[in-house]
Amino acid sequence: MLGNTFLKTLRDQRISGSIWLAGMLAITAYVVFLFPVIAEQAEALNELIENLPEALLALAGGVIDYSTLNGFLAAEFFSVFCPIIFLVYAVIHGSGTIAGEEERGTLALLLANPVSRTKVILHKAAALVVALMAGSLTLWLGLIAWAGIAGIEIGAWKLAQGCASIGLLGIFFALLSLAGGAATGRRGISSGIALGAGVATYLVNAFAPLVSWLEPGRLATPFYYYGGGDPVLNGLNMLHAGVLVGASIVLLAYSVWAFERRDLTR
Amino acid sequence: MSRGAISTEKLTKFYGDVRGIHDLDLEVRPGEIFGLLGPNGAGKTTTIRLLLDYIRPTSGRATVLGMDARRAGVEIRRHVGYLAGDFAAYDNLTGAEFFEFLARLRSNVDRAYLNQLCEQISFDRSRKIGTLSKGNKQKAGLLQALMHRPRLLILDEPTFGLDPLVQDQVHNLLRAAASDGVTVFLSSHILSEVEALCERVGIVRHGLLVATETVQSLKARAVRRLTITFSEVVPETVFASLPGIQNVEVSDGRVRCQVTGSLDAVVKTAARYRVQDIVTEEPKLEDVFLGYYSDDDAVAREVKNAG
Repeated sequence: MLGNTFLKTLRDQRISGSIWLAGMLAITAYVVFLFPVIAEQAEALNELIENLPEALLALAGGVIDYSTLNGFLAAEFFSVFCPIIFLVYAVIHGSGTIAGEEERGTLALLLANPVSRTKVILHKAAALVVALMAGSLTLWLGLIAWAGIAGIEIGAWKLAQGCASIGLLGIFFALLSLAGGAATGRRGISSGIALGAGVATYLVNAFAPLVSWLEPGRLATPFYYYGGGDPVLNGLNMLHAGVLVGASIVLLAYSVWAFERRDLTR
Repeated sequence: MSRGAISTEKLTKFYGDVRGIHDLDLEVRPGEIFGLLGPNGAGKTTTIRLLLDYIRPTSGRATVLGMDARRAGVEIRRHVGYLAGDFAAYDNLTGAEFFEFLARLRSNVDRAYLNQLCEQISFDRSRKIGTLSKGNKQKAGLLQALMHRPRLLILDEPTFGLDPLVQDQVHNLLRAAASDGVTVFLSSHILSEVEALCERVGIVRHGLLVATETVQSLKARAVRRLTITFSEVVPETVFASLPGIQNVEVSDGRVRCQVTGSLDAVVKTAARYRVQDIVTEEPKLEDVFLGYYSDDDAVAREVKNAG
């Protein structure tokens, strides 16, 4: 695991990453085994939801059918919970990998070797992408496995598309905090910006259907393109996924540009 | 293209309004041990970080091993070994893992040579770097700087904070490297270290290169404080007229004075009386600057006016 900067960066995440993935398996078990209890009351819940005031309905992620596991996951798990666990991991490691090393003084050590800054940042970005993809894969495998064990019917292919979408959202925020670190070298600044942007854009996206002047702002939030629970029910919107991928590529290009031209802080 | 191992032309770095280094013209010849001497904050680390392309000059340029520091950073670093002043390593790796990782990054490491060096300074590679003492951590830093047999070593305060024994080991390694033809460029704020190791010295102060000297002429300029205790009364006038002597104070058979350069005349004069004790203080870096003060201040004023 010490063959190059990419592998070394993955190795650096091996403890926190393992805990993250194990936690994900535990949470998916909890959610899946909880579902039968919810399904028993699905009819009542569905009725209740249809009569909810518009504002509450928007926050809950819109009208969704609680009688299927995909519906339940879309309503609860993918709208609120998954974005949080992916966002937090993405920001911690996105800001830690360049800015964290810089603050600890080991970035200078790395760059005393015959490697370019561009190569270092690309390796580190690749490690972030792989870690988040592993998260999204684990999420999918966990849900499928627990549903199999519990004998609950699950739309595996749609679910895979939902997991892919949350992976893309995570990668976007990882590269956003990487960009902050590449530009400033400060871990606090980069994680602050990324977390702040995460919360702000989440709120804009959640309330936009209710507030007419917020409506256009939705298009500027990554959560709109992530789609909440929608991909789990209806499959991935390729255009929206493409926007997330494109934005991530722009962030990576900016990171390389900003990192190449600035002074190291330490 | 310059033939020097390091060569800078009016190299300047400002951090906002704060001067890091100004108009530095430096020439380090291949194969020599060159010391950059100056107090903390003089611009030594700034200079080193410019050479390694960690920071970019405000103006001027630097070439390292004949290559432009800005454009050929990767190629330069292939042939340079660097030890940072605040050397930080991956604390969760063992020494062996640490060297292995860097060896993969570099792919030009001489492993037999690394083994030999580890043996030579008895460095234990099985321990995690985070658990090492300051001295052993610094050894790890030095080993990573040497392990690919660089043509140029750049060392920022290589022995600062080390106990004398480890300091000696470091000095011996550097002398050995130099005798193999490696150019050594080191910074220090300790005069005795520079005197012990270097052939030539650049003196920096407030971001300006005040002078470049051979160590011999630096020694000749060095001001030493001397206290001689006699067991008989000594006439005051005997010492006051000696060459290079200043600020002579005589009281109760004790003579205090400052001597520039050689102590020969003072010692020979003292020998005519019954000497009980001689104490010389390590020359202070500030005293070295005494001889350069006037022109330095002129340059400082000039810079201020220009800015």
